[in-house]
Amino acid sequence: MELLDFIFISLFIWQSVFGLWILFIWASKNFKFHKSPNLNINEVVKTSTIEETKVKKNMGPIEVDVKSNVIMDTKSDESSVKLDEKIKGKVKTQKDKLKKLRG
Amino acid sequence: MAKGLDCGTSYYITATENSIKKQRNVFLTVDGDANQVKRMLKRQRIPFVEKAGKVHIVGQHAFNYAQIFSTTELKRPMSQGLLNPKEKDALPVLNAIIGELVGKAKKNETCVYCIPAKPIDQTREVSYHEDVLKQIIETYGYNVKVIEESVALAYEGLVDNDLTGIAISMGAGMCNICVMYQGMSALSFSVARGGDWIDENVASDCGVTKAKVISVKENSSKLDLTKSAINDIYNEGSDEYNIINAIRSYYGALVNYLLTNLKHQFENAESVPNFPNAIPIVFGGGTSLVKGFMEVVGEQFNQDEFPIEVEKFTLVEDAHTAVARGCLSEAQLIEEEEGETDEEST
Repeated sequence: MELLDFIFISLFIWQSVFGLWILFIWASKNFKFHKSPNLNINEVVKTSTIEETKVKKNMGPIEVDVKSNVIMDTKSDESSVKLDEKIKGKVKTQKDKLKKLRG
Repeated sequence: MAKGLDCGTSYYITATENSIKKQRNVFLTVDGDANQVKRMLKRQRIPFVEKAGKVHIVGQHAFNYAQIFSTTELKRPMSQGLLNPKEKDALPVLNAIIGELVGKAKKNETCVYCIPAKPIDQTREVSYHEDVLKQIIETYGYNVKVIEESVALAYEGLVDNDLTGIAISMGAGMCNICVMYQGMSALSFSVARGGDWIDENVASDCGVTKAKVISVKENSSKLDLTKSAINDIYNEGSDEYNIINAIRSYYGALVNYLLTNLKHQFENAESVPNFPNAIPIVFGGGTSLVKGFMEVVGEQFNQDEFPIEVEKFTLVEDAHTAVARGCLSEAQLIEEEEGETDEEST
């Protein structure tokens, strides 16, 4: 009797272990598990999950506007510039027609 | 009060609603002790700029000196439409010229200045030029906006055609071109040839100084490029006859260069409008002022080879100040819009 009990109990345990193993393999294929990172002080951990795209793209240059912040010394130490020509009187422009065209 | 500023290679011109101011964009450096030179210039009321111990005579006076003393080197703050990279003393001179023309801004004043379009025949960019001028004008307290030179000309010369057509600004350093359809600029570019290019070539071909060519161009009351007038007025073989004939030839070459490149750009551009009707071509700028210019244009133009049907060629009214007036219109409209926005928000 003791031998039979031993065999049955042993089979039951092994079946349970085998069942759990199959369950574990199925679960690891169908669910994603994230391991907790081991954090050391002053260490930066990459948590980015961006996937690399393997599609080849046009690697030519992209033209951008130059927006330089020019700081130039344009001031003079002394200047006494006088106008070469000044014409006084109402200046005729096409502003009103331009305004009308723009709506 | 809104202001329009035409930043040209040869002249800086401002327009406000009640005045137009012009300043020749040249200078020459006077050697010698700075204090002594300044005293002398002040006594004679000659405009000058001093920077780091160097004294520069500015504007028309500098030009007149160079005409009289042909050995004196006349300097240009700008060359071929952009800041002159060879001229280290240009910026203080430009600052002084702009300051004299626009003055300090009162409350919320707008100043619209112009820049050339990207040149097709030289590798320089316009961005640096644009930034430096903006920085200088801003120091006088203005709300600064920028437009392209040829667009400013179109605002004066194409409004009667619903802003549809071609505007060509003939400057000293450059010619600026834009093709416009109902107010939208479909194509714009510049070429680094203009009045200076004509002067240099005529001087070289006729064996005279550039100053002499400019003097004939600007001062000869008889100057007329129409063929019949040249034959009537000048004695064949005289210096003046040779110079005027050479000027006419180079005007023809310049217009031909412009029209050829306009055709080339138009045919190779990615998107250009299909004009349903024939369009006008309007000219402006100091280089177009010479009498007989439109006859030269007519001679160089060939409708059969040109990709757009052209209705007529016109010279804009007061061609020298047209770009500044176009900038002024834009500045006035900006101020009006901002005024309306302020009223709505209060």
